[in-house]
Amino acid sequence: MTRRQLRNVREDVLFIGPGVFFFGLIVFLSFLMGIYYSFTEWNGIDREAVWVGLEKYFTVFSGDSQAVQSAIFTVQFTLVSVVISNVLAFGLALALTMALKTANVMRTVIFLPNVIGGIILGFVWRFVFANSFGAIGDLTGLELFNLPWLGTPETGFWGSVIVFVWQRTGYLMVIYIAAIVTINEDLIEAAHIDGASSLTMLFRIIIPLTVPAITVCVFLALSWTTKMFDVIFALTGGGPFGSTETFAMNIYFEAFRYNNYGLGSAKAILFFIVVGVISTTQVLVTKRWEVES
Amino acid sequence: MKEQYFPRRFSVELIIVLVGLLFLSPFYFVFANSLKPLGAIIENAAALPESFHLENYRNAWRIASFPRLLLNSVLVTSFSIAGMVIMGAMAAWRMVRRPHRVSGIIFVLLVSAMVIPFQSVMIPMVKISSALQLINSIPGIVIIYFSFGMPLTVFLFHGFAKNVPRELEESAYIDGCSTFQSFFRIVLPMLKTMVVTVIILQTLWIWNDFLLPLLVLFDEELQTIPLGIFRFFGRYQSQWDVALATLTMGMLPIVAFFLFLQKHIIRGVTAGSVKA
Amino acid sequence: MSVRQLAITVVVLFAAAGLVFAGGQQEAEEAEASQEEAEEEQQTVELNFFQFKPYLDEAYGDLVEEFREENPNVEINVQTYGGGQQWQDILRGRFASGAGPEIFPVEGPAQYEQWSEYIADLSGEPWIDTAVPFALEALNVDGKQMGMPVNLEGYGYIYNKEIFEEAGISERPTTLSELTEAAEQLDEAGYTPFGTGYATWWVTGLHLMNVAFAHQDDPLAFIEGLNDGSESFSDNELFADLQDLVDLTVEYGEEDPLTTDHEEQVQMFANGEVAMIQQGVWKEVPIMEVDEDIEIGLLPPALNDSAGMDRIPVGVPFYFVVNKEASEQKQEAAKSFLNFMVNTDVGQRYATEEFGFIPAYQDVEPRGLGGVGKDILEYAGEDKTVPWVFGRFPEGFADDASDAIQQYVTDRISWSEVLEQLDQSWERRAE
Repeated sequence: MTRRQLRNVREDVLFIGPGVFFFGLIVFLSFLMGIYYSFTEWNGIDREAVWVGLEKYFTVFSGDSQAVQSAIFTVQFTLVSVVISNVLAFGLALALTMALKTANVMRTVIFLPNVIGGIILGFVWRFVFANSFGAIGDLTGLELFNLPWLGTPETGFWGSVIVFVWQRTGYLMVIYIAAIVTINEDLIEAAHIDGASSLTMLFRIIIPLTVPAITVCVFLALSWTTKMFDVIFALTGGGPFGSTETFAMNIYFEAFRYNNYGLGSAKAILFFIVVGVISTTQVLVTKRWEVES
Repeated sequence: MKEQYFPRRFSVELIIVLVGLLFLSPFYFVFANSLKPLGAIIENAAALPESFHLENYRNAWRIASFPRLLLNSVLVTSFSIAGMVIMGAMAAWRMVRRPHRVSGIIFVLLVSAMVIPFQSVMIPMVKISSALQLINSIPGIVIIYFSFGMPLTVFLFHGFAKNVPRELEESAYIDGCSTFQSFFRIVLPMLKTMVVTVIILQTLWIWNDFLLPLLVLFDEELQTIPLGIFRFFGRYQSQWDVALATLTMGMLPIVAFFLFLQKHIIRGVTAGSVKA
Repeated sequence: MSVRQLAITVVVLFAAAGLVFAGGQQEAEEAEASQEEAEEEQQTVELNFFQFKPYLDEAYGDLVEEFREENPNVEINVQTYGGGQQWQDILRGRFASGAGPEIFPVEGPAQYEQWSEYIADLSGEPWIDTAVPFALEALNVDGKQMGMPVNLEGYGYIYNKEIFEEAGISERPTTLSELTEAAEQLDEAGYTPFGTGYATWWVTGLHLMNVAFAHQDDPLAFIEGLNDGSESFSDNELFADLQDLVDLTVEYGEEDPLTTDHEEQVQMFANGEVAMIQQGVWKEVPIMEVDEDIEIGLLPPALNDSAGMDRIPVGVPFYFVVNKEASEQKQEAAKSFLNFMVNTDVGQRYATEEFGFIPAYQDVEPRGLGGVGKDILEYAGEDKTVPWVFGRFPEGFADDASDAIQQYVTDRISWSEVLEQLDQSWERRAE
C-alpha cells in the first residue's frame, strides 16, 4: 500500500468511522440480536435465553388473540386515517393557495400540533374527550358530544382517528402546498379561458400534476399510522379492553409488561417485515417518480 | 378577472378560519382550564376562567420539577443533534467525495436501516445499552440517539453534498489545507442549509421522543419533558388542575421554537419528507 | 452565529460531554474502589431501598433517619417509584444496568418466580416469630422465607354510612340479596348506589376476580387445578355467581362504567355522589383528603346468599426482599433495616401512625386507623376473612380478565364468553 492509499484509508476511518461505529453499536447489533431473541424463550430477567426455534412465531398467529386484535385495529386505523388526513390536507392546501388573507396564519395554526409530542397531545385530547366534550354537549344539547368517547371500542377508534388527523394533517398540507404552488399558472389561466369548470381543473390539471406529492404524503401517513404509539398510549392506553391497542403497543406490552421477550421479539420481527415492505415500496415509487420527472 | 371570485374566496376564507379555530380549540380547552381551580373545571370545562388561578402553575412547576425536565430535554436534544450533525456530515461528505466499494456498502446499509421501526429493535436495544452502561444516564441516551439518528442524517447530507461544487475545496488543498481543515472551513459552511434542516427534523423527533427515554431513563432527575409528563400523569391522573398546567408548560418551549423558526421548519419539513 | 462558530461550539460542548462522561466513569470506579476499602475498614455501607408508594416517600425517609441514629454507618437511599405497573419496568431497568437496589418489593409468588435468581433467603430472621402466620405463606418457598410482609390490606365495598342511614338501611348487608336490597333502597332515596371504576384494570382484573377465587373451598388447590387443567372457570359455580354481583354493580352503577377509573371512583364517593365503591383500605386517605368528616366502613363483596359470604378479602399487598447479589455486608445491613421496620418500637410506631398500616405482626397495637381499617380488623378478629390470591395469577391474566369484564359490562359478550376467555387466557399465560 502506498503512503497515499494509507492516508486515504486513515481519512476514511476518521470521517466515516465515528458515525458507523455508533450506528453499528446499537441499531445494527440490536437488529441482529432481535432476530436471535425471536427464537428464544426469555423473561428479560434471567441471564440466559432458551432456544425454542420457531415456536414464538406460531404463538403470534395461533395463541395470541390480542396480537391479532391489535393488528386488525392497526390496519383499520391506518386505512381510515390515511384517507381522511390526506383528503383533508389536500383540500386545505387548495384553499390556502387561493391567496387568502389569512393563509399564512392558518398554515401556522394547522401545522402547530405537529411540533408537539404525541404523549402530550394524547393527554390533551384525553381531557378534551373526557371533560370538554361533555361541557359542549351540555351547552349545545348535541348527543354526539355526550358519548362516552374513550369508553367504547367504536368511539375509541374514532377518537384515535380524530386525534391523528388533527395532529398530522398540517404536515401533509404543507407538502401539498409546496406541490400546488409549483403548478404553472399559465396552465390554469389557459384552462380558465377554455371555460373549464373548477372540478375539471381539479381532476384534469391539479391532481395529475401533484401525483408525486400525493405519493409522498400517502406513504408518510402510512408510516406514521402503522407505527402509531405515543398518542394512543396516552389517550386510551389501548383500552377499553384492548380494543384500541396498536401493534406497536402490543410489542411493548408483551416484552416490557408481561416479560415475554422472546414472543415480543418475534412480533417485532414480523412488524419489521410489514413496515419494511411498505417503506421500501415508498422509496422505490418515489425514486421512479424522480427519474420520470 | 379575480374580482368576480370575491364571494367564493370570501366563503373559503370563512371556512378556513373556522377550521383553524377548530384546530386551536384543544389548546383553548387546556389553557383556559389550566387557570381554574379543580371544582370549576369539573363543573364546566368549556367556560372561560373567571379569574387567573395561577396556583396551578406554581404547583405544577414544583411537583413536576419542571426546570429539571426542561434542562434534561435541552441537554439530550442539543448534544444528540450536535454529534449527529458533525459525524453525519463528515461521513456523508467523505462518501460522496471519495466513493469506493466499502463506503458504498455502508451507505446502503445505513439507508436500509431507515425502514426499521424503533419497536422492532427496542427489546435488544435495552439489553445492549445496559451491557454498555448507557442506561439511566444522559450521556448514555445521547449515544443511543447518535445511533438511531445516523441513517437519516447521513442520507440527507449525502443527497445535499452531491450538489456542492468541489472547486472551493480543491483550491483549499492547493493552499495546503488538510482534508480535516478543509472540511470544517470550507465544506461545513457550504452544507449550512442542510445543517439547519437536519437540526430541525431531529429536534422535532428527539425533543418529543417518548418511548426511548421511557425504556432507558429511570431516575427522576434524568427525565425529559415527555417522560416527566407521562410519569406525572401516572400519579396525579384526575387532578386536572395541576395536570393541565403541566401540559401547558410542557408544550410552551417547542411551540416557541416553532413560532420563532417557522419558515425554516416548514421548509425543512418539506425538504426532509420529499427525500425521506 | 456563523456555521464555523457553531461548529467550534459544538466540538467544545462535545469534548466537555466526553469529560463529564469519563468523569462519571471514573467516579463509578472510585466508588467501587472506596467500597472495597469500606469493606475492609467497616466504614459506611450504602443501601438502596426501592419502594412504590409515592405518598410514603417522606415517611420512609424519616424512618431511615431514625434507623441511622442507631446505625450511623449505614446510609439508605429511598427510591420511590409509583404509578401502576411502571415501578416494575424501572426495577428491571435498574437491575439491567447493574444497579439493582439492595431492598425491593415483590407482590406475590408470580413476581417472586421472575426475580428468584436475585432474592436472598430470610429464614431465621427474628420477625418471623411475631408475624401473623398466614401473612408469611405466599413467599414461603420450599420451607424458606424469601420475603418480609409489612402490612395487611383488605378491600370490599367501602360505603358511606350517612347515605346508608338516610336511605334507611340499618343492617350491614352481608349476602348478595341484602346487598341488592340495599342498592334498591339507595336508588329509591335518589343516590347512585355503586361507583364501579371498571375502567381501571386492577379493580376488575385483580380484586373483583379474586373474590371468586378466594371463596373456593381451597383457593390454592383451585389454582393448581387450573394449571393442570382439572378445573376451569366455565365449570365453576362461584364464577357463575360472580355474574350476579357484576350485574348488580352495573345495574345500580354510574352511567358508562368504562369511563370512570379508580381516581374518579374516589372523587364520586367522597363527594357523596355514589354510596359504595369497590375499593380497599389504601383509598381511605385519599377519601379523607376530599372530605375529612366522612363516615365510612367496609362491606363484604358477596357472590351469593350462603353464610360464608360475610368475609373480607385480606392479604399482604407486597413483601420486601433482599438482593442476593449484594455484598455480605450490605445484605446484613439490609436485613437489619427490615427487622428495624417491623420489629422495633420505632418501626412499629411508623407503620401504624405514620403509614396508617394494618400491621402483619401480632405484637403490634394498631393505631391511627380510619373506619375502613377498623372494620378490617374487626372482620379479622372474627376470623371472617378470605385470602388474596391474585399474586399467583400468571403474568398478563389480570389484563385479560379486565378486558373480558369490560366487554361484558358493555354488552359485547355474554358471561359464558367471559368465562371462556378466562379459560383461554389462563391456559396461554400459565405456560
